[in-house]
Amino acid sequence: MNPENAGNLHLKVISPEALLLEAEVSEVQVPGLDGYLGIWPGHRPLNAGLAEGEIIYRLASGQTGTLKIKGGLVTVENDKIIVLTGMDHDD
Amino acid sequence: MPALIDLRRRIQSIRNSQQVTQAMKTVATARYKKVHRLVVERRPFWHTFPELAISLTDTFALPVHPFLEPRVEKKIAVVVITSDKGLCGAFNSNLLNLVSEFLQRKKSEVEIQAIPVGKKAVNFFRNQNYLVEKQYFERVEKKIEEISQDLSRYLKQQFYFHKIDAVYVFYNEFRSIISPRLTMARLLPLRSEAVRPGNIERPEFDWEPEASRLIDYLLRFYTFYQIQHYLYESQASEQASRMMAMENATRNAEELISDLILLLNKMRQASITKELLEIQTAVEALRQQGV
Repeated sequence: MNPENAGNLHLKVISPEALLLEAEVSEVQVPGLDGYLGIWPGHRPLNAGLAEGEIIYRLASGQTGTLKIKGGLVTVENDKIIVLTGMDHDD
Repeated sequence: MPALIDLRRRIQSIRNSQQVTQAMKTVATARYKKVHRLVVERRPFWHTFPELAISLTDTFALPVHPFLEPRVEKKIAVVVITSDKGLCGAFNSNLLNLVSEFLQRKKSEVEIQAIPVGKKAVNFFRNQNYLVEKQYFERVEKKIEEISQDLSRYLKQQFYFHKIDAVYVFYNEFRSIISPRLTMARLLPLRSEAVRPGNIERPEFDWEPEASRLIDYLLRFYTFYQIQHYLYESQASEQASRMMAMENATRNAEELISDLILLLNKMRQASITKELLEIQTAVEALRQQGV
């Protein structure tokens, strides 16, 4: 897909305690287990584990932002990105 | 007709009860606000997480994890979440009725293990012939994390080793202040029937790392957060129900008091009128005697 006329991505970052972030973004980078993954509109459906690091995103308005996470999971489908993070009850 | 003193005593005693219900309402309101905020904050996760777990695993024809494996139900565990204390309207009884029905329906077919949470549920199962290996009561609201962890671990173990084939949970889900929604949820397994490939039109996913490891990772947390979810929802509905019940009680007491006060005033007036009449009669009598 041509990024020039691509739509936006819908990004949601959710932890067990709260919805940390919900935004329309034009691009996102997430800390994958083997290094950062860049996600643009039109990305292939993907499920990936996440390492500790920062989610870096560019809002539709052009502003950028970051969010620290401690690992988790990302799923991408139809330009919807859901990040689950902060789960720590391993039993 | 009751004596005035009795009426006054009665009014006083209703006032005392009203003060108690008023205080309980205040406490319930404060607790409700606290737990309601928490429930609202956590719902995005509680709703997204199982949905995601199920939808991701739908892409596989074969169960890739024991939790996804549909089984013939021979032995089931029934978790019932009620409150420790009463005075919250029909909060517990409605749920326990639903549980009763379910147990009646199931008990001829399957072996049932009960896991009551909250004193009301513990009492409910006390006089019945169900296996109770685990129960939680007293100050449940302070021990939600602890209970979730313990119960989650227990159920997983039982399920892995085929001691149980399914886990059903009964709880009140918080919908609105007016009334909770009685809910039965199946915690395990996640799916009741095998997914037939071809029925689902979903794109191929890329997985990093491979699917089984990722699903493993996701499902590791599944039971814990689900149980936590059920417990908090139940908490929120309990406090809301208590708040409503106490509000009604306070209002009823108010009505009763105003009725009684009316009666009291009538009676007092009647006795004053009577005394006045007596005095008047005496005065008339004396006057006629020419005193």
